[in-house]
Amino acid sequence: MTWNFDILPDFIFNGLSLGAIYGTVALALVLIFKATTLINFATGELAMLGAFLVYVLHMEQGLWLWLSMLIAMALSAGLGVLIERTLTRPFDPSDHLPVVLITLGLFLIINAVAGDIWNYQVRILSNPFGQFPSWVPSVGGDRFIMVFGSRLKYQSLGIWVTLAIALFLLGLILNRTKAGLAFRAVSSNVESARLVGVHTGRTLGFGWAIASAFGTLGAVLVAPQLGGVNPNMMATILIYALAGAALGGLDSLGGAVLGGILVGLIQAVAVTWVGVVVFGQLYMSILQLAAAFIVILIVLLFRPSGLFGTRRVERV
Amino acid sequence: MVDDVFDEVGLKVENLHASYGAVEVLRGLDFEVPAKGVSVILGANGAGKTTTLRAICNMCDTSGTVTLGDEDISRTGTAEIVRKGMVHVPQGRGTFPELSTMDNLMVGAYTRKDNEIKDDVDRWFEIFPVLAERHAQMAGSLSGGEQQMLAVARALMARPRLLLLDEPSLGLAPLIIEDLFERFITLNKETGLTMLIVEQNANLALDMAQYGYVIESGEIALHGSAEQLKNDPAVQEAYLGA
Repeated sequence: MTWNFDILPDFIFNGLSLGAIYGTVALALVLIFKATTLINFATGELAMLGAFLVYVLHMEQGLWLWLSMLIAMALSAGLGVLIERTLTRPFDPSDHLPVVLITLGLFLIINAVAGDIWNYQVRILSNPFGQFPSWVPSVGGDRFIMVFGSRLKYQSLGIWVTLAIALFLLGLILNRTKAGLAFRAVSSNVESARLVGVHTGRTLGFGWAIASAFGTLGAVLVAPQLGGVNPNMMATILIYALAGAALGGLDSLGGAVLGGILVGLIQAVAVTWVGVVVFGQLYMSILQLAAAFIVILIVLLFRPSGLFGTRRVERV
Repeated sequence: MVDDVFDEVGLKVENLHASYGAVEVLRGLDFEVPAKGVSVILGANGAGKTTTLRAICNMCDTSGTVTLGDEDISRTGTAEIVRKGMVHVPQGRGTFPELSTMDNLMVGAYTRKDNEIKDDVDRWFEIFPVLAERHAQMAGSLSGGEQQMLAVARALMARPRLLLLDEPSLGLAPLIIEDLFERFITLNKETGLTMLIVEQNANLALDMAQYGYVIESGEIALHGSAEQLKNDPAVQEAYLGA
């Protein structure tokens, strides 16, 4: 057993950057949960589809990567609106089972269609943070800058900055626009929203749009860490994101981001650093997925509303 | 002082039926709400008072004709009805608890496109000063009376021609109820805003209103001026505790 603290910051940095991506996907889950109190299991597959759109636009059509990302996010948003309009709105919103089953069905269909088009091998997608200034040192494939005597990957920095900008924009949309106000009203009280003249269906579509765009952003950011895009790329990410959303509180946007980051840290520090580095138990690394379930279990047992969620008070 | 912004308009309800699933709650209501007046719906628990307001706004399965001013709104969706000028303050107030008092008012003006929204906020802050004090507070943290004022102010932000109020006194202390109802009367006198109020507290309601309707088992059992109803032996016995 060696408590190797010298390399601990490496793991923390890794955990924070993976966690930021989980947080992005968790945000996509929570945006829809807040407004409809249902979990959209197709979140991950919609995000994967968005990443493939970037693959097509950038790798196949040669468009600039960031432009491809913006286009893909816009197209995902449109698809989100379409799904809300055609597959969820016709159903009674107070009856969750049919809609949850539909999102599960979407999960399978999107996965199968993507598999049919692009097959299941991993396809390389350029790293959004692949262009480096000359002063950034590199070892192997990783570019980094030195912080606390540890390597902070250039890519991690890029992920944090991108997510911070995206969160800032989301805050502006939700707090400074009329559509954002309507979305918050619908999330708070659907019936009252209707009574002040808000078209709830359209507003939910708006939520689906933002959530899908965020999912796509998360999928593109995580792709380089997975070696590229493939139809199954989001399966485990979705589970980590669910754990993050549960930890943060399913109806708290800030909680989703923080919860996702915490899950990333738990993985990197508690499982990988303590398990693999300190105890030298290689098998510990496969416990990463289990760690996510343990987080969900503990939250459900001791604090069902999560760290920042609203505690439900049932009035009679 | 605010009479410039409100139109006067009445409501006409003909053969209104409403049901929740297989349960028929309203069995053919006919009544008219006169423009500029305050009208009140009385009735026992479960008589269909709340359902009447919900049915008028198309919030449940209904049949029959509802005319606002001279426009048939029987088939108009709930959100669109707000744009026609009828706003409903639901039972239990229906504020947005996670939104600030200010945001609650702003969302009340959701249907408006003019640039006098800020002026209206100031106007209602003047009339309900406690809301101005609490403008940054989450609505869920306001007291029951404050939330009721917020719900009414939010409805007024839409500049309605007709206001539906469902049991505004529910859960409030007597002094607060009196204060609130005085504000309603003032509002009606100063603006000519038409009001239809569902109320359990029949004494209070008939003191304030000019017209009243009594609902029993989903039908209008009695109607008339507030004076007539107050002096009606059946009403006295059933609702006024005389």
